Amino acid sequence: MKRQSLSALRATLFGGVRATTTTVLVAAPTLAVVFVLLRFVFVRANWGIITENLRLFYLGTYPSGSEWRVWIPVCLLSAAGGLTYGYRGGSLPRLARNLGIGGALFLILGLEFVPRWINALSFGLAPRFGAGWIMTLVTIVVFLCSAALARYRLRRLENNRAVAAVLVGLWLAPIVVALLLQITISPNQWNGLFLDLMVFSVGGLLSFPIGVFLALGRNSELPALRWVTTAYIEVVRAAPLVVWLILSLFLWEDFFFETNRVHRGMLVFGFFGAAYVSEVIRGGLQAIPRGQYEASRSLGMSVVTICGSVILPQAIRAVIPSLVGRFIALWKDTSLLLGLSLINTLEVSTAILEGRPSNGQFLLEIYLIIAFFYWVVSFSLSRFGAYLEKSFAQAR
Amino acid sequence: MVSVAAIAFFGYLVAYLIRQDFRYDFASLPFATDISRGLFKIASSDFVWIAALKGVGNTIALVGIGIVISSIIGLLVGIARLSRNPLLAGLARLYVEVLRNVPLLVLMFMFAFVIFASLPNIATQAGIPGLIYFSNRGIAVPQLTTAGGLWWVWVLLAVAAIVGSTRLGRALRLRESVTGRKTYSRLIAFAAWLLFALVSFFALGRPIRVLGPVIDQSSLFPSYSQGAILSLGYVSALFAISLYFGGFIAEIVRGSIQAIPKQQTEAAEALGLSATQRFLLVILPQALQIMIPALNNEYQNANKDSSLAHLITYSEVVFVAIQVANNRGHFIELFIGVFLVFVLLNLLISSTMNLLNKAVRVVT
Repeated sequence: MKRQSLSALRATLFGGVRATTTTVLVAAPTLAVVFVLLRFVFVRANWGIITENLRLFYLGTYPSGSEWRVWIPVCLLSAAGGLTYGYRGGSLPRLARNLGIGGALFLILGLEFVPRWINALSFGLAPRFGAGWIMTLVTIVVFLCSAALARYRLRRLENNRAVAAVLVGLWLAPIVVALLLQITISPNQWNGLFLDLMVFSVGGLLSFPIGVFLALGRNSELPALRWVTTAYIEVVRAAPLVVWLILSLFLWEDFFFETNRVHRGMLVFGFFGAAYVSEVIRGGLQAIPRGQYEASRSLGMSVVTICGSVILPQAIRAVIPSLVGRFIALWKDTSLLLGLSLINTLEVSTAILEGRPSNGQFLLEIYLIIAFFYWVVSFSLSRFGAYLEKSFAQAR
Repeated sequence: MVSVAAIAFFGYLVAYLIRQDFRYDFASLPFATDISRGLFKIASSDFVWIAALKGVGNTIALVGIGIVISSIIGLLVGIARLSRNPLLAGLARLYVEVLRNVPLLVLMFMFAFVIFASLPNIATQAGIPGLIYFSNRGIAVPQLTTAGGLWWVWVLLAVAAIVGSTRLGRALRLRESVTGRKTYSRLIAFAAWLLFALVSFFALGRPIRVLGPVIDQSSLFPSYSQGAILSLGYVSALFAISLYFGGFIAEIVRGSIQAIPKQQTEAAEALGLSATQRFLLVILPQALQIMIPALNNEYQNANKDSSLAHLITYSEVVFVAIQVANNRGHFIELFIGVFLVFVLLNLLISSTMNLLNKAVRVVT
């Protein structure tokens, strides 16, 4: 079996002059690039600047001693991820194997840096980061345990609606808990990845109901409501987010109450994202045949019931891929928070390099890690979207 | 009730705008800052309205070229994703998964502050002499200039010759259909056009010339003395936008090629078309039709996201607006202008794409 697939691979790569030429033409530059990259990552780069400043990337100037207020939502998030992964039927042995292979590769290739990394993950950070490495382990164990629980102990839910409810609750809980735990912490002390995640999740949460309202308003039979929502959607979509952020930085107090800049960012993200979400949902609404509405009407349902339990569930299910795409875009847009003069993950680079000679040293390392942070979240979101799409398609 | 609240809020906004005392008389004051990071450089003595126009020009130069390059990247990567060669397909997939999931601003920062910031000093003369030079002053490329005043005559002649050669080709094809003998109509028409264009070009005394970049080494501080100089701000923003949107366009291309039913390929195969012909004559024209609405959307996104370039101090329209607001105030007036620029450019993009949509529609 294995040999067969190997020979098939050889046939596609080297069967005939054309295939061989393509392979060689592609492989040569690829190998060169891979070589340069590997050499940078394992020889040239000085990752010390990252490991020394991991706390800045994650939390910035978050008050020390309060890290548990971040760790609890992180563990909840990990549990949600584990339960979803396990319920989906993700293979635990494969997960363990991948973790093992990744770790081994890392150990072999990065031998020189291992002591430094271990130092960073444990004792180097320990005094400042609380018990950072213990909590990292706990998070991983929570993920694995909840994955195992969902995989081997939980009954399959038959009902589509129950699946949706459980999923929403599972992923909402960490956000709500995180917000509640931050009540005593001034938002001015939120920095780095934590700030980005908070603005993204709250902004995303806001944008959904507002977006649904705007979509329904644009399809409404009341002309005033239709005009206002249409105008709102078109005006918001006409200008880039940067422009809205700049405007909110300078004009907010002229229009609204005085607000902390973090809360302002959350509101801007919510109301900006809503215009896009509403266009996606409107696309879903258009896909629902009119007969559905008429049938529900003839059953004596009220308009609210029709929207809430007939039209919207179908419309939203039809547009899950684009909806997830919108949320990924919103996550990437959190990189713009530095336009509100907040210290987000991207702006941490300035904080790290402050006081060092500006000769461009360490910059590539820092930007690669920042890109990696953003990438991990968007990539996981896109995988999660693919899973949602598949599970709803199956459950139909 | 909801609509009453909505109208009230809307009315509040409008009332706020009306209350403002709009004045655009600052437009004829000098800009008061030198900015050389853009493609069009702004001098401090330029009037504000000239600076604003240059800002719009910088935006258009970034978006226009960025759209073209990202479409080429997207087309190539999108096709490569469907290759039967697993290496090529995997590489294209890697490109898409990486570039689509990293914020555009991070890419811009990488290009602006790491990659292009590490270009060598101008005195090292890095590059290919006469073609391109890289240095921390910018990238110098060949420049088109006009010699004598007759370039427009030549352009007119060349355009007129296109019409003439098309007619020639049509006449030849007509003869081919009557006599049945092969006339090589396309080849002959093209050769006739080329001959005419070349002869008139030299007859007019070479009215358009290409000047390669030159570095003036004579003084103590060398500088570019000839050629078009692309500032590093421009090149960074352009690279970031092209690569980033290339990833999105690749997915659009892949999706629309995959949306063509398999029977089309099979039918083309049955007609005896080669693989290349199948793709260029059967699949691509139909895929283009599916692609265009999605491309329109993506191009408008590229237009809006070009505003991020102000954060790497490329002097596009938002950057100029902020700069003027710092120097002269009038924040709201300026941002109404910025808003209008984005709206107009988006209208331009979508109307062009609608024209294109009509042009590629397959007649059934």
